[in-house]
Amino acid sequence: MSVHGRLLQLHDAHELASAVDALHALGYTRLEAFSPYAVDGLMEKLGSPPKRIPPAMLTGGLIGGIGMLWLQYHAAAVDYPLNVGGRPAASWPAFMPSAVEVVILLAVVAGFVAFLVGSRLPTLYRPEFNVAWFEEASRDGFLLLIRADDPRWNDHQVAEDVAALEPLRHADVPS
Amino acid sequence: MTDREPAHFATPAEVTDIVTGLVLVHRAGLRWKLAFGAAALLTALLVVAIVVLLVRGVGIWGVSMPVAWGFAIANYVWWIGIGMAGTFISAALYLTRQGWRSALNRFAEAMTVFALAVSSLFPIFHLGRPWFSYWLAPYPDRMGLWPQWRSALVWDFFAIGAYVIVSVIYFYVGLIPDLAAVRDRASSRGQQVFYGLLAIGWRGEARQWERHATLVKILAGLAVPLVFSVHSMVALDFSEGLLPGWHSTIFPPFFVAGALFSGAAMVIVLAVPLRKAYALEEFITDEHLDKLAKMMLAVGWVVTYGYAAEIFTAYVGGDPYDTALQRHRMQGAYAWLFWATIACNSLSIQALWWPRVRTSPLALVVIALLVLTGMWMERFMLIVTSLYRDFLPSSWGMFHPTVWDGAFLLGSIGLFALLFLIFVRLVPVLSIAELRRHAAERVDTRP
Repeated sequence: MSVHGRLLQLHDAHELASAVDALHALGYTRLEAFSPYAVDGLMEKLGSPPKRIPPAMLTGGLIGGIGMLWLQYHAAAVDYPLNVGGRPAASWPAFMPSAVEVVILLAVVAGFVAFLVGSRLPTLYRPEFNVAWFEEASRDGFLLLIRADDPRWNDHQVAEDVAALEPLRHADVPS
Repeated sequence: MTDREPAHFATPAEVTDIVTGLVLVHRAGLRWKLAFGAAALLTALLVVAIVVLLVRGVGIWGVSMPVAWGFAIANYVWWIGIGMAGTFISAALYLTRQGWRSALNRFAEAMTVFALAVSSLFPIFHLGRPWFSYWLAPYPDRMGLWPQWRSALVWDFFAIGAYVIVSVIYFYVGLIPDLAAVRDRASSRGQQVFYGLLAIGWRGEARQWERHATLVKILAGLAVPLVFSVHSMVALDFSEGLLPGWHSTIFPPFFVAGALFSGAAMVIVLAVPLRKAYALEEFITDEHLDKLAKMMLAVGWVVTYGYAAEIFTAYVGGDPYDTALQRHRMQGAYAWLFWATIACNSLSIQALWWPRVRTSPLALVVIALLVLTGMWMERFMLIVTSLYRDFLPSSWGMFHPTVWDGAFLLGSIGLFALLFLIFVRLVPVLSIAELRRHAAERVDTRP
């Protein structure tokens, strides 16, 4: 049976953070921490993911704004210019309201997509779900996974290192 | 109470068990079933009314010349306004770190989504030929048609479209961790599959939480200007017109305030029965009702200022049509509507100065219902009184609502109630993830 990694449950958020430190000191790098809420300071230890959501939202907003202004200019001044009381065809102040709304819309959609892609969602099946007590992570459990693709991974060594952390419980995650 | 001082005393595990239990274990009571039956009947009435409208046209309504906007537009403005409070509580109070909002934001956001769904029916069915409503969207069609970009109605189309999509995304993003919590506790296969699909595989991994927090923060930052712009656009539908009583610069802020006013009232109307039915007094406390009541009182004064400013500017400006309109509003055929609006929206809320009223659920619901009624009458009054006295006395006329006008109004209330009743059975009504974090912070900072 191939193994996805080893899952352990710690007592609280502080212990989770110290366990990450201890495993880092031992040379483990492929760690995943599961918690019922965002634990402050954990991200600095695990290494922040690349911040793709803000640039994605900026890009979405810019595309929305420039695209909407261009569309209105094209429709009103190029494709179908209509003389209404001698008003200029490219009446940009009247083009702003729709453009503002589309800026926000596309920024939000881009941010949502970047969030899903970055978090690898939707992924309905995860090996961790095979461990019965994984559900503690959505209640009040603080879980840590050492992935089997970690360069330091070694079945016997991992079992020893995990036991040294004195977790509440631990188990192999079948892949 | 700030971000660091949560209201409730439940532990993270208790919060999770209580709120997921409402979805998974709690059985529907008799009152829920009765309410659901009534809402379903009213929704059926709405469906019948819509079918009749599609077959016979907008002539089934009382709209005619000169009053060509009637109940439908009043309903639309009323419902979209009610939606505002959900976004405001979720986004603006989040950005200002009001931790107490965590007990309210989930069902307030749901209220927003449902109010918008109901609201957006009306402009579409008011088009006369609703099957051509997609003509409002810009696309290169074979007719060579483009929307009229200088029209406030087209701006409004983009505003509502963006608002609906952003509200749904905002609601769902906040819901993902909670859906995972329900998924993990579900025992029957059907529930596991249903919530498993909705939770899209959320694991609560640290990097997921990080991205989630980033996204929620920026979404909140964008939702606030969005919601203000939406209600300003709704107001511009009126003030871009040249009619006395509509053509006024006070309208956009006046409509934003009116929206928050009616929305806060609807949050109270929903919060009081919800916390009683689900025994959520620990989370939705009297202090929450007190804060909502204060919000309603404060913004009610802004609305009252709007009424006063309209009358004041009409007389300062001295335009005879403007002053005549104000006299028609206060003394004309619809004067009863104007004064009833003032009684509901400006007078009834003065009771909220007393702390005892602000913490009495019954009194609050009564005042909130008066405010909701008052806000509907205000929307209707603003529309009808500007239209029924045209510039030429030969074009003057009255508005006579038909039974179908009433069916659409009652039916829309039924549809909203139906959606909300389904929501409280299927979705965690409180934000589990946020309340868990508050609980943990309290434990962490315990001496």
